[in-house]
Amino acid sequence: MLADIGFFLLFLCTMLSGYSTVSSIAAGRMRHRRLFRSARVATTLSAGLCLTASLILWFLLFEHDYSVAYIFKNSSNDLPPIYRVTAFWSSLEGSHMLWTLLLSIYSTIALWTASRDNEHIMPWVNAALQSVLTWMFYMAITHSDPFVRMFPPLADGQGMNALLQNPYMAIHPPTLFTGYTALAIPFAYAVAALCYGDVTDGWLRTTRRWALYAWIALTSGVFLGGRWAYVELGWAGYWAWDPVENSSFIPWLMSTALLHSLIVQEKLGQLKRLSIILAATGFFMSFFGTFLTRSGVVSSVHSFAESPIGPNYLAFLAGLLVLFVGLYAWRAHAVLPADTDKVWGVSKESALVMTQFLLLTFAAIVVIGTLFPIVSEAITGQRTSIQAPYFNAFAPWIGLGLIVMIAIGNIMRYQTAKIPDARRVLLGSAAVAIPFALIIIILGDVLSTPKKFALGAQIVGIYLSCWAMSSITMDASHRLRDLKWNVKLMWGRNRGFIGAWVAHMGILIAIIGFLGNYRGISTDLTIAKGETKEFYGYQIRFDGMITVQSDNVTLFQAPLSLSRDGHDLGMMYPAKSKYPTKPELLNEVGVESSFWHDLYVVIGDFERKAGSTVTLQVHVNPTVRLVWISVFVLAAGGLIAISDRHRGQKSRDVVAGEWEVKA
Amino acid sequence: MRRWLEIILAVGLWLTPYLALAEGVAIENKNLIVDHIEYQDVAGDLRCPTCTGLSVLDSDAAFSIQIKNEVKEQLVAGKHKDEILKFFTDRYGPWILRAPPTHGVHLLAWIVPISALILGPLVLWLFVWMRKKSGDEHDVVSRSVEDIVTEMNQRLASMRATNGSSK
Repeated sequence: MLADIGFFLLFLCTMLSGYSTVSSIAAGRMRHRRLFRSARVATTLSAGLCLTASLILWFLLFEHDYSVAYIFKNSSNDLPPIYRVTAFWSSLEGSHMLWTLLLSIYSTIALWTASRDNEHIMPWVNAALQSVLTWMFYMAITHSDPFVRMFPPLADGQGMNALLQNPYMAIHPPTLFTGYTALAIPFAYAVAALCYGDVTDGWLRTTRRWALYAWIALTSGVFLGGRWAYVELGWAGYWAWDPVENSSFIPWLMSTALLHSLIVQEKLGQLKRLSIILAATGFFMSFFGTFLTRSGVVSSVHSFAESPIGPNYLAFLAGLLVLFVGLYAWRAHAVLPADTDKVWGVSKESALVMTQFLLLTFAAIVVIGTLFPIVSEAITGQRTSIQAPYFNAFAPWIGLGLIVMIAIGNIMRYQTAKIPDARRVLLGSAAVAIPFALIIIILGDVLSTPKKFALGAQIVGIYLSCWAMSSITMDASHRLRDLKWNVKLMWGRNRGFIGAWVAHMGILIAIIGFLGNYRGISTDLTIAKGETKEFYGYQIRFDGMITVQSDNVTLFQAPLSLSRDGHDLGMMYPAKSKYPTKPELLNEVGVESSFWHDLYVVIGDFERKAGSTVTLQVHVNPTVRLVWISVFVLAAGGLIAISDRHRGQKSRDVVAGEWEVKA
Repeated sequence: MRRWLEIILAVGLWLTPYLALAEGVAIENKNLIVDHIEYQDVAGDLRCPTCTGLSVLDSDAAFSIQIKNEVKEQLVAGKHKDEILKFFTDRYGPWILRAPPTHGVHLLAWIVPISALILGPLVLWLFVWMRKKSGDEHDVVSRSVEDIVTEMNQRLASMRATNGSSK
């Protein structure tokens, strides 16, 4: 009964969103305020009903209502409560529902919090969002209906995919989807700018906020996904250039590029059309990624949600693309060039464009790498694989370019080729970087990297990252010095700058982290009961296998006592786990972290009868901690930047923006 | 001078067994080969046929273990990376490699990104240069911020002056 109500609510949502789209377009054309207000009510109602439908799905999950097919497939009686919550998005229909829910909520928020400066373009914003939502709702009641019933209902469900029974699944998908859906707002404003005919006064401010919000969520989401892979999949890495990972990385790259385009637009009024294109393509790519992984076009370890909705997605994406390209071709000339006589030279704006070029090329490479196997198979009939080695061939070069652009671009100024104190900052930081790089290289044990190219790349990369860090820090301190060290003024008036500094430090920390575990050290150890073996200074003693039952999982644990240089590090419990849903055993990894490296242990095999010997795959992964730290720094940078109230205001043109000028 | 020679000799003597060891491990002991860099290199470039996204090195699927054993045997037999990879491509097709081969259509996957990375900055530079050149021709000098501020102050002063006169 409740499931039917849920379905009916989704049906109502489809109708409401459809109405909202049509009436918004009409309101935009006729400039009819009251008609738009009705559309706004419809949008809000549809978000409310969607939320209600979602709550019903959650309620039914907790009620073990196996007459709903989705619940039957993704949950079971022995599932712990937290995974009842996450079962909501653990498969196709539910994750589509989560997308839809978040998109409808964010559209509503965007509509009600819109600045008065944007009032006249809001019908177009709403129309863009609701047209997407109408399709999403339509899918939710046709091909991807979470409330489909099955008869007769059984007493127990099939259970959730064992790989998804991990605490990170509680926050990773919602965070990532928040990023995807929040990108819809810049997209909608891009469409609105084209429909209206120019970028309005409040446009930049709002777009910047939502793009930053999406960026923070995407950053956290991507890293959380990596963390999940690290602790769940057991191959000692967090990133494998898997199609699903790629499809979350592409929108991240696009939104980063968008932020760098928006800042040029803010300071100089230029690159308006580029911002519009990037805002639209960023959202398009997040949809495209979803399509890739849902449709089964490319296979992936994360394809928990494959279904025949592929053709529908393809049709929708094609429609979206054609509509946007058509709109752009028809209306782009209406977006006037910047009303400025500013000359584009070798200055910060060029550096920012260069940065965008690198980011977008990276995105293009990731797209090529993800799609090329399909294309080449279609042409030659011969199957090929594109996996990590292909991407790893390009990533270091782009990383190198980005490091250099961060170091130089940040210290440049708009509208002038002159860099204040250029030599002192660049050479000084080159000197300052040496001890820092040495510390990282020695403590991170970089020199034990066996392969020469990898070793060289690591040393150069770490040194350059340290150089970039000290360069942007010195520049920031010079700017502060110009303010007579009035930090409060900087915090109050130019928080965006501080946010950017923090975020750039974060990405450099992340790059150092990536470089450090470019190549870890690993070995296989076979240990008998009571025996102690040594690897990388760790003494590992094995005390015999034990069997533990926790909730729905049977764990075959190998308790290991660890010590290093005589220090007792306590116990570690790597395990093989048996879930009721899967015949094969899964890995539960054991991780012993120190600041500079992780000892990462996976059980390869164990003696089944008495549990007297175990074969361990032991990995030493350097500098992983830095990668996890960097996400907090990146997110903090984003949050600081988003809290800047002054950015994007019209009064801050280039002169007012450059507050360090003593006039 | 002699002291230096002694030091170099000592260091050399100290390093020699390590070098010998590094070479020796692969050839003599098949069990220790997992730690060997060449083995990791080859196995890292072959895909696990039954999984998605993983190399045979990172996978413990039955098929991967077969391939890994084959790689070990061939390495012990003294074959080089290229020969071993060729052996597997002849057997399973280019699909077994984790990066596309560098011939035929597959070359596109390499050429497009590389040329984009090289040509892109050139085009951008050309664009900026042309903008600047046309700016120079039309006598729009790239002004520094200081100049703009002075200009604005002057204009402000002249506006004040006219305002004052009209009063």
